Amino acid sequence: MAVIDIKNLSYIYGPGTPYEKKALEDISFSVEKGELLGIVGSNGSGKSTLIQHFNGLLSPTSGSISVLGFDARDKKYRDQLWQKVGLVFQFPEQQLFEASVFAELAYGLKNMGLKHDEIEYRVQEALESVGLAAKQVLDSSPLCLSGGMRRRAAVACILAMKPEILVMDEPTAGLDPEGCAQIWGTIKKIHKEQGTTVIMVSHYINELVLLADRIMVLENGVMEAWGPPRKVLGGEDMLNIDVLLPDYLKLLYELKKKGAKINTGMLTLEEAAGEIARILRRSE
Amino acid sequence: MKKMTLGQYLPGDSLIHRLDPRTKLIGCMAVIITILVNDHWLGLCIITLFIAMIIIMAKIDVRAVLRGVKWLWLLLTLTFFFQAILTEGDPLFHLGPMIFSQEGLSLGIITVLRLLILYLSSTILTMTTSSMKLAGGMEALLSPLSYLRIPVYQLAMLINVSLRFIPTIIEEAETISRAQKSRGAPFNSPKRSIQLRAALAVLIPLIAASLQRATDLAAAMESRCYTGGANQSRLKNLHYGTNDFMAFMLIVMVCILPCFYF
Repeated sequence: MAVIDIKNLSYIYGPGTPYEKKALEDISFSVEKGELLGIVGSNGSGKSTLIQHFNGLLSPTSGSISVLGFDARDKKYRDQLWQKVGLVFQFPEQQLFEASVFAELAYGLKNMGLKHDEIEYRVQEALESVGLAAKQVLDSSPLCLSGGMRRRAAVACILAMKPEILVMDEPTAGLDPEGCAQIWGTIKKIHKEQGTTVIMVSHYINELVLLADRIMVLENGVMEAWGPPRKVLGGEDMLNIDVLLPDYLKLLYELKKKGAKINTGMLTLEEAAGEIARILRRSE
Repeated sequence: MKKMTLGQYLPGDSLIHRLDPRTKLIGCMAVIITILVNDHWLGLCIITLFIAMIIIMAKIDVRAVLRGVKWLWLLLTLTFFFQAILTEGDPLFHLGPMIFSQEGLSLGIITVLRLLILYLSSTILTMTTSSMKLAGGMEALLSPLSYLRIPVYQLAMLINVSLRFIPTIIEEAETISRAQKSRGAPFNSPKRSIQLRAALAVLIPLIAASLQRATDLAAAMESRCYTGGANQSRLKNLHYGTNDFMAFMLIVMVCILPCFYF
């Protein structure tokens, strides 16, 4: 079952002004329930604009979008979509404002109209799922936490609302390797254990290819490639796209451009090494 | 990238864009003072033509500018309307109980013209002058005040820095309010008190981020040996050229001479 269905979506910033800018052009795809979708693209490719359509912050200039079975262009439906589609913005720790971590996590839950017991339970649960010890952080100010912990607390704010679809905009940007691993651990857990549909945005493709069921490559507001990671990497679409590829994939693409008959659909360094060894053996 | 803001700088290469910011600042001020002091219709007509000429020379799409400000039209229409019906004089015609007098109509037109010129002249200034140049021009014009021990250079830097960060802060405010909307912040609640609390959820992170940025900027400036003295040099020095001289003469002709004649 498709939870998000988008057809011919276009979005233009400031139509009719001298600043008119086409951010998205004729995008069509659908997201299946329970899948992990990765959206990849360089800066300014329209990733952030696209995901703001998912929870009703933006409405398409043309084309259609339905989320969880209803038309998301409808203003009334759009205004309550935030309860079902959780959107974690880029650098979410910059949006913390309450005096304590508890109040911070409870903010969204209060806006949902939940009872106090339920709020307390969900806050505990969300903090645990991001790997923060509830007892230690609950009463402290979010500003007193370390950078990585603040990021996790901000992610927990959205997780506590138990969205059916979780959308995250570069959740690991600017974190150290340990912080990245923790965020990824949380996402895997949410995805596997609760069956939440997860949409991840990143400009590093190697973060996503290992986990995502499907990936989408955006470039200048146009969808350049779409499908399972192996198929996207192995296809011809990626040859001329300026996405930040890991070095081993860059090498494979260079070889392919030079005419080598090589399969570029390799997800890890080991696989890529194996593929190159295979080519070398054959040429001997 | 976002909605167009009022009087936003539009890079261009017209004659008006290239004028020295000091000329434009003085010109703008002269026009504003003239239309406030001089209320003769002929003087107003000359200045209106003058402004129209500048708009054409600056290659600004004036329709886009006027379309962007709905409240301005409301203000102009209301002003005209009330001037027309509330001024006593020879009745010209009437709509129901409202009587339009000849004096009222002409006063209405003059007031509307004045408001429009006020708005247009300052908008043209900011649309054709980058904030860097604007601050530089202000600094140069105010520099005589430094003899009175007023810290003009620091003030100019203050203006410069604030102008520089306005778009950044607007963009940030937009992002944060979207993020809080994603957590259900009730911006559209019918209750004022709830609306206020929702606004706080945007204001607090915004102020925190601004303070952080100010600290970072200060550190960056100090690490490049900024001490706040008057000996700062700039990449492009202000240059007073022939065009500026001609523009200046034109301003004198259009703004000052009519004051004596009418």
